[in-house]
Parts: sequence; C-alpha cells; structure tokens
Amino acid sequence: MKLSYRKPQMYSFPNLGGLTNRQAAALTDEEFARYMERSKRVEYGKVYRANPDVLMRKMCDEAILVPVGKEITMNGLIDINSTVQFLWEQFQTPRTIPQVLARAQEEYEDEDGCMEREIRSFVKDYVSINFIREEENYETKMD
Amino acid sequence: MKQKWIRPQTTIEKFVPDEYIAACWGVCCDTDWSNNYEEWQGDYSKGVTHDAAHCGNPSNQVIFDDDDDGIADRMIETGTDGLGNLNCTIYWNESFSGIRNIASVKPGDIIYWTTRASDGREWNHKGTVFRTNYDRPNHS
Repeated sequence: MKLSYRKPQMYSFPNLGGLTNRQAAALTDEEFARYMERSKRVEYGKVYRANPDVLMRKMCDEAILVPVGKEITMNGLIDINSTVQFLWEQFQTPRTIPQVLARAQEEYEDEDGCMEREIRSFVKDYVSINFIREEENYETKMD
Repeated sequence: MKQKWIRPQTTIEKFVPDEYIAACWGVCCDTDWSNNYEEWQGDYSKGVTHDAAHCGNPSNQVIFDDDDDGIADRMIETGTDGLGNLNCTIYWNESFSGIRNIASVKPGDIIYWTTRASDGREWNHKGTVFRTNYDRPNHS
C-alpha cells in the first residue's frame, strides 16, 4: 500500500544543549536523540513574551503586525494568519512554549500532528527577528 | 467544537529593510575652513584632512528622521575614504564644546560636527545647513 504524499515541510529548532552543531552532529544516533531532548528541555524552560513595540491590528478577518519601535528596523506590514494571531495573543503575557502548546491543544484539532513543531519553529523565527523576546529571570508559573 | 490547526503563516508586505525617511535638510563640509582648523590644531599632518569628494559632498552627510516626524534624529557620514560610515556629533560653535541636539538644526544654520574613526582620528567639520524638501515648508 502506498504512503500518502505530504507537502515537504521544514522546521527549525534552537540548539540549546550546549554543543555546537558540529559537535552535536558527531554524536551517535542514540546520543543525538538524548542531546535533542536535553536541548528541548532548556527551550521549554524559557519564558517568552511578544515585543511591545510590535502591535497587532485587526481588519475584518485579517490581522497585521505593525512594528512601531526604533529597535526593529523594518518598514513594512506583516500579514499573519489566524494561527499566528492566536499565538501572538498568547505571548502578550510571558509564557513558555509548553504553556502555549497546552492552550493551542484546547482550541485546535491537531490532525496532522504538527502543532508542537510548528509552535517551536514559530517562536524561534519570531525571536530571530526580535518580535518575540526571551524574558530573563522570569519565574515560570503554569496556568 | 475545536478549530482545525493550520500552519502559522507570516507574510511581509512592503518590506524595506532599515530604510528611514530622510529629514528635509542637508549639509556639506566647508573643506577650506575645516582643513585650516585641522592645521591650526596640528592634526592635518596626521592625515586628518577634508576634501570635496568625501565630507565636502552633501550626499555623504545622511540625516535620518527615524520616526518620520519631520525632525532629524541623527546624522552619519557615508562615502568616506575607506573608514566606513561615521556617526556625527553636532556642536553649537567652533569650540566644539557644547553638543547640539540635532533636532534643533534648521536650514540656514551654521553647524559644527565631528566624526571619529576607529583609529582614534577625529575630524572637525563646519557647514551651512540647506533645505532639501521644498514640498514641506513647515518642516525642518
């Protein structure tokens, strides 16, 4: 029986386990799996918050992010879909990825099983452009 | 009933990286005055010189209005002779002692400014501010 074809997808996750990519790549498969778990634990312990210099404006069914601060050197408008809108609203208060994932699981049906990977990848991408910031020394409180 | 999860999607429209709207005035260095100044203070022979192709070219002084309120926020010198972009510090007079807020600069003013290279050399400039945007007479 043939497998069903799925659109190719790429996700990027942060490497927070303490090794360089080259060092991590040299590990055995078993060691690498343990290392990735360790990195994920570090990632999941971090608290993130949306940059207050990026505002979300809603127009009918659409939502747009507008950078207004000097820190973000981008003259443009950022169209976001309803999922990003949901995630953006979650990160208006400091939250960890597991906390946001739990909220998303309450709201959405994850038929393809991609939700967790896509939230992790979203956070990494948004941190890289300073739209989401890591909150230093913030005590995690599960809600 | 739960909604179906769809992949987070971000689309950037009119993306112009690091592009600011220029303030409506410009300035170029009075290279004769500035070279005389460097000679007077003994820096000219150390390579602190001014010429028309660099600070004497008005296009090389770039004034930024970062928040688009019609008031200048900062000035940098571009097109230098291999020194990269240099931040400009503006002063009220030729003693180069009191730093002037760039927001106070308007066309017709004579301004004095310094630029400093990473090797420690510092240039002292003088220039007369001119208007560049005649469509917005109520602005700078």
